[in-house]
Amino acid sequence: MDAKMINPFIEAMTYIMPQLGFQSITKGRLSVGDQFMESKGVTVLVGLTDEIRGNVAYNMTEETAIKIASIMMMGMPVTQMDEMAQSAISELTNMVTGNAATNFEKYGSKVDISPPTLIVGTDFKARVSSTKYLVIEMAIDSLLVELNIGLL
Amino acid sequence: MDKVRILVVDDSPFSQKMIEKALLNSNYEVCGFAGTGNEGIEKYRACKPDVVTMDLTLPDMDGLACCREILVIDPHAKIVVLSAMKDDVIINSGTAIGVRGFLQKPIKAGKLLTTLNVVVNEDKQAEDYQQELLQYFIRAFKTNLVDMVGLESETTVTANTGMKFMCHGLAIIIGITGTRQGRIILDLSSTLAAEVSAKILDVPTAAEDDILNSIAEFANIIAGNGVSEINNLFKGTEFEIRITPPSVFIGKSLVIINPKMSSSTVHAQTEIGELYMNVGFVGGE
Repeated sequence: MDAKMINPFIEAMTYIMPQLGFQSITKGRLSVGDQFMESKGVTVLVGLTDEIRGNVAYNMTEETAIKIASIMMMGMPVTQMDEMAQSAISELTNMVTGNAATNFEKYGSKVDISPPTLIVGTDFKARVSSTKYLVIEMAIDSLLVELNIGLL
Repeated sequence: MDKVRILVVDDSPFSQKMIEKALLNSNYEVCGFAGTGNEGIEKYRACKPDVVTMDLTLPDMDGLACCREILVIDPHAKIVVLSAMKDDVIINSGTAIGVRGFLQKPIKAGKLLTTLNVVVNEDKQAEDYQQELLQYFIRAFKTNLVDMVGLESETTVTANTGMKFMCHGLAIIIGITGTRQGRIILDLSSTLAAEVSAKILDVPTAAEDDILNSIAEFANIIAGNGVSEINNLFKGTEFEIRITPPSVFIGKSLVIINPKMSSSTVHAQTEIGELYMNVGFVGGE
């Protein structure tokens, strides 16, 4: 898989996150994942179809998800992964992946996305479309969100 | 038919009048007007409207902050922002909070009604899509249990409440895109997955990787067969749905959550154990 495939996602994060109240968005380590992604506790899966097919899994700890939801809710205290936090995190990945799809289109590939699916639990792993996938760490106001991108 | 009750939060008496006028002779009735954010929150509690229109510039608070307070009271509140300003930042930050629709002033009656209808009917629509399309996936599920695994099954369907699905060990998730959007989960215990896989591959015991690959492909074929049958029904129209490649989740205490989705779980009882398929759709076109 071409490492250039991550650019539309990084651009989407950089564009969307500041609109939701986040100050700094920095790209961290890029690596190639093999076999299984270990979940950090909260994983959101969004599928891609059309000219680019695959899945992106946003992976973060529950603590991070709660902090992100709180900032998205304009600083409202969020103490647990309740219905509002679940909805906020799902919307976030929907917006970022939707914007990434727009970016893919600018580069010449039409992409359609599925609704986000949130998976929570302790000690679980996932295979994101294929055994080899790209992993990019993004630091959002020093909160770590890992994007696992498996494209066919 | 009962009228849909709407709360109008706007500090401009002119805008309030225009909204009221736009809703004349429609299926909507205004159950309250609020000129400030605090009044809006109070009236939301008191009149429990079906839908709210919200101005962004209120004298006592930001309109999005008012939306947030209402959504804390009722996470399922349906709010449409109706403001002079409408840009990406407003849409994205509003969507992040849970706002369902955005319209720009001046108010156009037709557009207001269309947006309100979409927002109000979204949940009902999700349920209708699901009810309408579920049968095709059940058929594909039962047929492939016979054709690929050699198992007859008795199926029962339960409506999924709370948008949560509890996994039994191994879950394959496949997204649905296009004219209808949703997702399919095939779920079973890891012990049963090993047995099903051995039957699919016709071997005494299957290796871990073969189990994952064969169960993922089994799910992919069920979803693909269901989707093809549905697309065939709509042949010659613009209707088309597609499926994403399958992803596999493995864990003992997994909960799968799809906010805004209406879903049903199909329980397939076979002689070697129970398999589950959850099919869900979201509203909207």
